[in-house]
Amino acid sequence: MFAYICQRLAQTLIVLFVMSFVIYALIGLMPGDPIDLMIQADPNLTGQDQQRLRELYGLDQPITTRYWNWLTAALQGDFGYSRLFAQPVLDVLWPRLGNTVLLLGCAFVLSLAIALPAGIAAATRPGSGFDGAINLFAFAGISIPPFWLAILLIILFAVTLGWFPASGMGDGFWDRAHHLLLPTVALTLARVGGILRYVRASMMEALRQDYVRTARAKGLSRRRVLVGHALRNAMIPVVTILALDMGMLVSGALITETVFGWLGMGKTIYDAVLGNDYNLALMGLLFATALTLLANLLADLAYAWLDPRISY
Amino acid sequence: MAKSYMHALARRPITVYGPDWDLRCLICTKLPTLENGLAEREPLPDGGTGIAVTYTLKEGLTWADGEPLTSADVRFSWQVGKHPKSGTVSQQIYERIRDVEIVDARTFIVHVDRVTYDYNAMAMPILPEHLERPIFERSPADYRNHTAFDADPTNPGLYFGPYRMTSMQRGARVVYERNPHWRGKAPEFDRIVVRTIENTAAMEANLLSGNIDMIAGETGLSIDQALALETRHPERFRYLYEPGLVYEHIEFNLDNPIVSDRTVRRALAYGANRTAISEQLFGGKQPVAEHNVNPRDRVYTDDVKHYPHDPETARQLLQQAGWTPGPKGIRTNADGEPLRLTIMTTAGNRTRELVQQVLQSDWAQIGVDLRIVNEPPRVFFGQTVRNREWDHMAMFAWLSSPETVPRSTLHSEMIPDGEGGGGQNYTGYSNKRMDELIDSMERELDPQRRAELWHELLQIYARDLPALPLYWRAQPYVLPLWLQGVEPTGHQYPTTLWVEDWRRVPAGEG
Repeated sequence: MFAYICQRLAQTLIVLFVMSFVIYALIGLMPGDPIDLMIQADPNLTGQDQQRLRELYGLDQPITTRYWNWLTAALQGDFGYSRLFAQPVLDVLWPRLGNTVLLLGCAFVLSLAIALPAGIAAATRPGSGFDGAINLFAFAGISIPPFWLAILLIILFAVTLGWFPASGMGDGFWDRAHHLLLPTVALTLARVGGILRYVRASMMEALRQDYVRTARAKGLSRRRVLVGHALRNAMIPVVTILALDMGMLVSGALITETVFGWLGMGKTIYDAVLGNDYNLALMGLLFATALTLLANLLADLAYAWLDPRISY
Repeated sequence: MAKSYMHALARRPITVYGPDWDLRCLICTKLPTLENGLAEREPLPDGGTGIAVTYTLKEGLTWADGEPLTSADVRFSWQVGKHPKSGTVSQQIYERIRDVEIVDARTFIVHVDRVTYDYNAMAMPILPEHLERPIFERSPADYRNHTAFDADPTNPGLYFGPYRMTSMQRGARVVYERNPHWRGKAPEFDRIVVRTIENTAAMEANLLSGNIDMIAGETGLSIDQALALETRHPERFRYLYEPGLVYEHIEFNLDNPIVSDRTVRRALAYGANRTAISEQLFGGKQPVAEHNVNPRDRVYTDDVKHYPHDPETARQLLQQAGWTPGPKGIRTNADGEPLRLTIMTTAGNRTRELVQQVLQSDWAQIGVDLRIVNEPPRVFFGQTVRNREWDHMAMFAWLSSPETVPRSTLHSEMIPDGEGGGGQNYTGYSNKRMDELIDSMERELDPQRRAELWHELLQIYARDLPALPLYWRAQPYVLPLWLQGVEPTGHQYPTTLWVEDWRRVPAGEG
């Protein structure tokens, strides 16, 4: 197992290295550069100013030279400066990574807390009114645009009822928890439908298997059959989906972060890409890549725990 | 603009254009002019003529850490600004200055290498020498990465206005509190918190829930959002709309054979119901533009060719230009080619997209088939506009200052050459008399004569129509009823430069 983990971590580093070049090249292919954005803000910028600024920021160099300069500095621990935030890139990203992990972690836990019991309950009552209600809830969550849902929550709970703040992150533990609730609910409602549907389908498949009939015939309790036998097998495809979801959440929380003013990775990466902040965009996307790869590694390890037949 | 808005709470330029659009001293005692003797022409070593302008700082100006603000700070700021590696964006104002001569702690003379109409405007930001000089001298090339403004933004020594920054959460909020060393008019409020809310729907929700008190016109809602908010909550807030210097217009690509014909451009101007756009889409709050100078500008003139909505005249002009009525109501030329034009702008900008649809409908009535092709802003500005890659028309806005000479956008030397040279004359407009007027007005100091040059320029502009003027964008301010004293300027100097005039009034008085 230890050797497997080391091997996967080594693969992760290789993937990150390749991705660093791909991302840098893709950003370089985008039309315009930061100087073009400055020109639009100030039509009095002269050609000399433009040339001077391009030389100052190294934008007159070929993209391969710029990438090589970045790589050699990064290998020495210098990940460069964020032009947009006027700070070292890691100083910008670490707090935002923490904010994203907090928000995603809460949404993830809440999604599972709802999806697992609801999916199991629906799978044990297929075709019933309860199953229909659960499905309706799931489809509503999948169908409702996250942007609209976020605004609706703000209008209802912040503007009309005044129970929660409309946006921001707050200061201190309780204030932050107070600010965290609405964006967590928005993110959860957007995700829980899909997870719930997978749990329900996997459970229904598992409950049809011979070993479940055997377990019932042996006189095991309903709870033991569901949780100890069926759920464990049903969770394997669900774990796959959750791992993929983790990666999407980092960038997909962009809308939620923007609407609620939650300073997370999604919004930061978006702003960095649009603002042509090479260093920040590159590191942000590499962080997101690393999180996705890590989530998949955890999923693979979870398979081994769920299914004793799997070993590394 | 957001940065300027916040900085103005705690820092001040030496001169500004006030809410009345006249140049005035903000932290100097008297505006230097040739007439009052504080500005004098002087010979240059190369035989040319420069100008020496004397400023005296107001008494008692102090950085918020207690250090006095002196002429040495001004001289240091110039030295940093003109250094090629300091990261200054526009170095024009610094490069023109030959020297900043210190007379005493409050008086200094700026020696400029040319005499231009704006000789006494001094908007150079002032840096605190006592904090920044060690950083700059350590490494000028790294200064922009280590300046205290970024590395230690709450250092009181960076600020000398009525407020100083005491806390900053980047991307979220900035807190300003009274500067104990400010000797000017005392501001009313102990604390001002500026919050960053990047989604306008969330901004509105914050306002309605009481999380924020006001939305600044400089950086806040779009006009249609403000109008909609006013319709829903007319009594709850005070709404101010100030048409400003953001000139919304359509630039023609004058290399294209269709729109290079002035008759066609005039037809399009007559065919567009710009008054209806202003009235129906913007509630009359964004007035129609007749050319590229704002009506509040001193050099404005209405004595130019106008293009009221007149579809019949538009049709006649198109006929004259060789575009006759064709199949399906679209005009064609002698070769049977339809009069099909494209218009491009920034995708996702709802206001501009609405305007495009109105123009499409208006021009369909005169036989023009308008195709709308929009792009994300960074593609539109970063590539299409910069490289002049649009076919016929590009809609966007220019921001300027009062009396800004339009050299970059109208002089023939400023047509981009595709290799990074040139300026922002994206239409490719070339007119010898226009060039002469631009060259002259930069050097003309007599206000009356300058106005005459401007008037001629505007008459040529309205006659030739290198761009189709649309409207002047308004800045919508949404203010609480208890707040008075916020006076929108309409130009690039924000309302926060006069924050000490803001005051709370009792309920019922607002």
